[in-house]
Amino acid sequence: MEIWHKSFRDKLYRLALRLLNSSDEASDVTQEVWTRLWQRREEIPKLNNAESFAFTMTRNLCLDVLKSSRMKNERLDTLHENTLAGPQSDCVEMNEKLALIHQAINNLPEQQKIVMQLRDVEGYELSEIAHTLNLTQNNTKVILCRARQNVRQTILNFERHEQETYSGFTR
Amino acid sequence: MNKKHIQDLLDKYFEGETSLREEKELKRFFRRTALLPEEWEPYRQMFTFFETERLRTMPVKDDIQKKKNLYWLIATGISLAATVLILLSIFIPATKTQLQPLASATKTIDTFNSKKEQPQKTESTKPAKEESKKTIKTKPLPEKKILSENPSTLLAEGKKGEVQPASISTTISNALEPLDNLKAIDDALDKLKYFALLDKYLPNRDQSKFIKKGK
Repeated sequence: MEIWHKSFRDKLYRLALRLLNSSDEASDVTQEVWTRLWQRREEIPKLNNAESFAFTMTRNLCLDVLKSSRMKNERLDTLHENTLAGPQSDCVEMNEKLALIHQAINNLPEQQKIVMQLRDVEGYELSEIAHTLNLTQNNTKVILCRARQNVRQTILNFERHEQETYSGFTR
Repeated sequence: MNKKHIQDLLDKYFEGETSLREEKELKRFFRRTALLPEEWEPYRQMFTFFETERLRTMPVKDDIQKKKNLYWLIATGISLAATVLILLSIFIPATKTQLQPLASATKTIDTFNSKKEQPQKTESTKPAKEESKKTIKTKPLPEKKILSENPSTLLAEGKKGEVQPASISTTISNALEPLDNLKAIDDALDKLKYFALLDKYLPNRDQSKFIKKGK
């Protein structure tokens, strides 16, 4: 079964990491989801979409974790402050531009993060994502659209800001 | 791939209208094209980010495994040490208690060898005990058997009969016997010395004998 493959667990981990922004917490959540899935392995073949079931479980656990510790979920007003504070320690060897994208996605609301993660990173169909989030396909599309535009906006803002501050040597 | 096509795809992308295939196309385009219009550079970063994120794997698994292994090692170490300690604490007093009767048994054997009145004494004390415990009349017989067979129980009785000082003195004298032997050996050696001296000062004593014999 495809969901028992290690690569699928990595997908769960990546979703958790997107939401929690902490490698340790994401691993814990993934492990938890994995054991819960294993406990319910009898039911899983009966589900019409086991993957989205697992994703939903991951999302719910992550939101629980975020609820219990809100300190990591602070949304900073400007991107520049964020980048000055330094990218996450988890982002190993990520260059400045990639760190910028990372921060841009980081600043999105949870729902947009999840949709963007599942669509742009993992490459799932909108219907599957809608199933995961228990939304209509149209709603999902709107969320995805907003996420992409938000990210683009933050990148463009940053570029403009950079050009203003270092107007002497722009590319 | 012309620029307009990509621009259309990008517009569609930000409207959320692109299909998965078109998004793959965009990703491939931004990955493979070295020279890009400046305004597209941020998008290249974005698509690169998506692609690198997809390669991320759960890293902490190994750490967890290592931690588990470490905990396991520590736990087994501690439990091993604990079991060793427990075993020691069980066996050391056990050996002590086992040794005591043996030592006393040897003592009783000594007393048997040296003085043969003691068994009589113990037997004489025994009836008194039987009289005190008249309610149980079946037990004394087996006790007697034990007495005759097991010296350690005899010693317990012997203690009551105050035979211990005597037995100690005999054991001490027995222990000192080798020393007496040593003294005898020493004396013998002295005598030998004496003979040696005789040989020294009277060298011709034996020779003269031989000469006499030869003559």
